Amino acid sequence: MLREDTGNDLLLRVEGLKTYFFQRNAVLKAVDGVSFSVAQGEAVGLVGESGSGKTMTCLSLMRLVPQPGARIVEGEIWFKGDNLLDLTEHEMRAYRGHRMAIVMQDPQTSLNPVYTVGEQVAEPVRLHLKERGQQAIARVLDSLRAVRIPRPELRLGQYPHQFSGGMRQRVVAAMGLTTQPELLIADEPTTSLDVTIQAQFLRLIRDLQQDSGTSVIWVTHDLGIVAQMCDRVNVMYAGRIVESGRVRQIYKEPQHPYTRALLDSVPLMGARREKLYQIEGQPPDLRSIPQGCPFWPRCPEAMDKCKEQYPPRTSLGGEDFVHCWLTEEGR
Amino acid sequence: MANTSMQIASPTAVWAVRARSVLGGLRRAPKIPSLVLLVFMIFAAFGQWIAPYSPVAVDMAASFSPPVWHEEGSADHLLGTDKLGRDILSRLIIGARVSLSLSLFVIGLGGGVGVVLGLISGYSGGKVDAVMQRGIEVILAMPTILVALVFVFAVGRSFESVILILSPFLAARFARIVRGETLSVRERDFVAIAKVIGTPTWMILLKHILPNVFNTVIVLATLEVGHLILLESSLSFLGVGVPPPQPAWGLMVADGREFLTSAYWITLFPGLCILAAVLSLNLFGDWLRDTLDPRRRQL
Amino acid sequence: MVKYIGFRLFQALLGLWFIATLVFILSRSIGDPAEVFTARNSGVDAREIMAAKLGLDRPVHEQYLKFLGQLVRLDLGDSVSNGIPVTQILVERMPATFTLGLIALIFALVFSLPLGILGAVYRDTPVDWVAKVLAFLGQSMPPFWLGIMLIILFAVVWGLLPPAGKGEWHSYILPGFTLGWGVMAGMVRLVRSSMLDVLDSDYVAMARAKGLPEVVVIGKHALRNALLPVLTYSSLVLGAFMNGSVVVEQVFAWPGIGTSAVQSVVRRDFPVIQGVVIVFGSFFILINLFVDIMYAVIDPRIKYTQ
Repeated sequence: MLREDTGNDLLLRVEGLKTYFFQRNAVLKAVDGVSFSVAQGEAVGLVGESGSGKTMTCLSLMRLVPQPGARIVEGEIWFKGDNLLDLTEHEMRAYRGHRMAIVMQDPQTSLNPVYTVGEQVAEPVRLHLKERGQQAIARVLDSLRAVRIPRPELRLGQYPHQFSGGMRQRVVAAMGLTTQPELLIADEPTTSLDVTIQAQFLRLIRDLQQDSGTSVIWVTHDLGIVAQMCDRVNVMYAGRIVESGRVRQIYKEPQHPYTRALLDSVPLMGARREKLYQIEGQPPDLRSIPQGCPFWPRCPEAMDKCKEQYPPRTSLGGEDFVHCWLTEEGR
Repeated sequence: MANTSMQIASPTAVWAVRARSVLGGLRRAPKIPSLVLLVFMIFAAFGQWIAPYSPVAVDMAASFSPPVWHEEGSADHLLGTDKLGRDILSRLIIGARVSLSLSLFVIGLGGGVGVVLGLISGYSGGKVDAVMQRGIEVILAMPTILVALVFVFAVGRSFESVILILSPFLAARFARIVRGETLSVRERDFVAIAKVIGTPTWMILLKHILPNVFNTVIVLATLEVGHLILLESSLSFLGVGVPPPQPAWGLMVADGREFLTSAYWITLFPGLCILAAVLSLNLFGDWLRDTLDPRRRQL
Repeated sequence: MVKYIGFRLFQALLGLWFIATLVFILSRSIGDPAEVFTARNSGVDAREIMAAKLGLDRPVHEQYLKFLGQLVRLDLGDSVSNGIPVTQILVERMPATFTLGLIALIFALVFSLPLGILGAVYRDTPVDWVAKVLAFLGQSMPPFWLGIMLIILFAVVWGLLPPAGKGEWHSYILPGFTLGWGVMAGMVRLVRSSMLDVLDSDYVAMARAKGLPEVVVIGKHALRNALLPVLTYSSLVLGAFMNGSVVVEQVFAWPGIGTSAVQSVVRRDFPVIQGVVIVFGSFFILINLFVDIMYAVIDPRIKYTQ
């Protein structure tokens, strides 16, 4: 399942993406120079605390940042041969829901309460695949079956409030996958689900991914999920990717103190630990990001240098890298 | 990006922050509405020393004199006179007192009762809440003016009866909003803590919940004064409001209706006063809401 | 669905009964009923006849049943000022009030829905500013004064429209506009804020993420949800219309029920005001019933929870 070689057949390449919120008297740098890539069929994790810019990065990929207020100010998003940021709004719409889809955090709110589930899953089918009538219904039924919703013929005509949370999230997944997109963005899709439902859903998505070869970006704050689901992981802090590497590598040898702290706060299966570590302090207020490395106020190993200058990118071999003075000075 | 530490601020800190923000914030208040309101408040408080004439002084010789900018107008009566020769400007100035004092009475009485009911309803929840909400809905749904007509029919026309009839409507509006706020404050940590350490309910309501719904009450009160002025003037216009010879603005508009063609100024100026006062209150209240609590846009 | 409608119907009947009872209590509590139901200067015999008619010598519960019986037969007594049966007065005047209300409603909807929606969609643009200014002005302007100013401009100064009274179609313009104006302002605000909430929602974001064009996102996914709170507030809007129609009819000397209400207070004509209350009350309950059913049609969640 894991691809060792990710250099070729790139699906998505993000370069220096910056998305800012413009407020009356402040600029919030929600995404501040993010670069990463996703190979075809690969699952990439985007990990960080809330407010680290993960969700905003995803919305930027689909060019759906909140209007008015937020704006993509810089960067490139290469999807195969096209820079998405150069497309017209009309061209971009052909990507959304067709070549890339998203599953959002809260299944309670991401389905429209006044339309039937069937209608909502059918929308992308009619819009992008130009299928109508019986043909469209058949495809909707297939998708509902694919996400293992029992008795889809009956469920088709029901409304979202008649579904449980886990079932709704499956519907949302069906809605996204029915057009067989090349990229699926899963924005913390299991946070609001019960643990058992969560595991089912994760397994479901992993199976679907393996069958169809869809690439997935997993947004989460849970490194446990990343370990299960992803090939690569990008750790985000205060709008930047501070460490990037293959999952195994990062679990074995985390370089950034923040990555280490995140790992220490996860109850890993089988690992016996006296007590779970908690990261001290709050993620920084995006209005006043500290100078230097934004993590230094919470970093147990902060040095004077960290307060002055943002650490440069230190390559760890291959595509892996980290932004930390400890590693940079260490070599 | 919600700052969680904000949500568990202690009540004393809330008051301190509020005091500072009010003092600092008033400087950024919208200029024109604040000025208009200040002028009307001064009129209401010191009207009898500012008004050039007594509002009820009849002078038949000077009846229907037009405002000063007309050829026949004179500087004696800047905004002209009505059919009895009473000075419009003086009546407007004293009229501010009628409108404002009446509204404040209603806010005090109805608003006070409404806040208490809202706190109780929201905090107790369950059956008490359900019953109170039904009652509030019924009152809110009633057409105020029709009810006022019937009420005045039954008890007669006076300053007090206008207060009595408008207060329940206001109480219902306050109760509904305060209840909603209470429901959410009730779930916060400091209330849970207070409950755990055995603080009596009235104490929780007074010390923990009330300070946190206070912003909403202030905003609502500002907006409602405007609403009340409109209602009061409508009642006065229909002849069931504050009885003459008190110079209520709505009554003045009604007085001028017979003379629309010959003496427009009798109706124009009192209406402008109502418009200016209510518009200023709405703009000021809107600003206040955005400043104090950007979350509540529904008010 | 049928069960739900049945339940609402039952509630509506309960509401009607409640209003009738309220009116009865009022009629027996504001003074000697025999005097309340007779003209001010009528003699002793007139009062005795009335006392007999109302059954005042009988116990209260019998009087109450009698009153309800008369009500069911649509007998509301005679006006004390001119002796005409109240039912006849109301039936004659009702069409004027309702057509005016309907015109005002259409006017309010035609302006407030697009303005509120566009104001929210194109937030902080000129459309939004227009919506806001209109909303503020509409909420702050006394309706009676607006009516009078319109009369001065359109009837007195320009002579384009009749100043008062009900006649040909153009006599509906000024009162219709005046009545609709205040309601429109409140609706613009309501539609705008409810639309803003919906536009922030995840399902609208999802609709966009499916690649739907903005017209479909707004028109299909956002609008239907945004209208739900507007429907919820429609009982308040209705209250505003009733308030407004009393005032506006007075301004334009419109021969409707609102004018009767004001006149009956001035003439101390209890049977008429009692009739007005019952008509407005019943109308109010019927409209609410209709709105509740509409709500169930638009929002699928209702059918199953009730």
